[in-house]
Amino acid sequence: MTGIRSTRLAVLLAGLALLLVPALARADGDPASDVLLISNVSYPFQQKTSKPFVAALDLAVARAKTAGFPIKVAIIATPVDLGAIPELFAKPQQYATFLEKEISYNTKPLLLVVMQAGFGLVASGPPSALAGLQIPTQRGSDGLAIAAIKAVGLLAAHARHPIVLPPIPAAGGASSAGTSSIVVFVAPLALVLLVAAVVGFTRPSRSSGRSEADDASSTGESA
Amino acid sequence: MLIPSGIGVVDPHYDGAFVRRGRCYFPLVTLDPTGVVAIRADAPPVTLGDLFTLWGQPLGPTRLAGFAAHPVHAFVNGRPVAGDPAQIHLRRHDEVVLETTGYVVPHDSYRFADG
Repeated sequence: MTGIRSTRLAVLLAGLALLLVPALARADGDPASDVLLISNVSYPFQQKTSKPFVAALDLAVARAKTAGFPIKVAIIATPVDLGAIPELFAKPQQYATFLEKEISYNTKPLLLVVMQAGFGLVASGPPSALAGLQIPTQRGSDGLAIAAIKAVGLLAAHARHPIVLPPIPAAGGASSAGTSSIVVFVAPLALVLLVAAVVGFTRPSRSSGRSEADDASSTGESA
Repeated sequence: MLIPSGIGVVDPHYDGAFVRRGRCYFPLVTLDPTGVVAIRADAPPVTLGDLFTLWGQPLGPTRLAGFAAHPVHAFVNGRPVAGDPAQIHLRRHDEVVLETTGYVVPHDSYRFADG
């Protein structure tokens, strides 16, 4: 459609809204709070995210949900994405706290907010889980999506619901395996192997009477 | 209360919560669930009542979709508007808030995307 003008309608059921947001009465002013009631990811409105990155992030979030980590993600690229509360731009943790109150009804959602200024987390893990994770500065919404994909993987792994991350699309649209996939998938595997090795090393040895079956099971544990 | 996407779109095709295309469009449509209403620039003046008619929900001084028997209070750009909310004209970049069963400080502005 060309040649359009926009207006906006918000319908507030005051009793409900006041119950949900006692400290922030101006509820339902941000687009993500509406989108996340229906979808698991809210993407920027003005600065569009490329389709391959949308597909990759959607897949990562879907895998996390399947693994028992149903996280919701809001990517905020510009103040436009905050609607009536643009003052929370560049304040990801403040916005995450605000957003969580808007979208939580009977459950406390796991929430990740990604802005260029950093991450906001509610119930999805400690900030330390994302320590060292950089947000690309040159790629706009796609860069934020890349950071979100990696963050979902790290948070899921931290919550002991590791997932295999989808390949992160390259700038030209082709896919390349992201290092985060290796971190998320191989690191827990390495940890399991390490624990198995330590257990095997500390187990009291039975130097005599060890059967071939014992040897086989021991081999199986360390494989 | 969510204003759904797909109001004013015939046979909408959805991508998640968003309408990507439709067979045809009325002069005012919702393409996402954020409450933003897109109005064709050459459309005749439209009212909130027109939007609710397209939505298939009632709107009146004491009726707001499925909620009845409580007064419906309307605000446009943060200012209260008396009378029947269905008669409110929708103008470019208006922020319209409808409230019932109580009072919440209404938004007085909204950062719209281009359009």
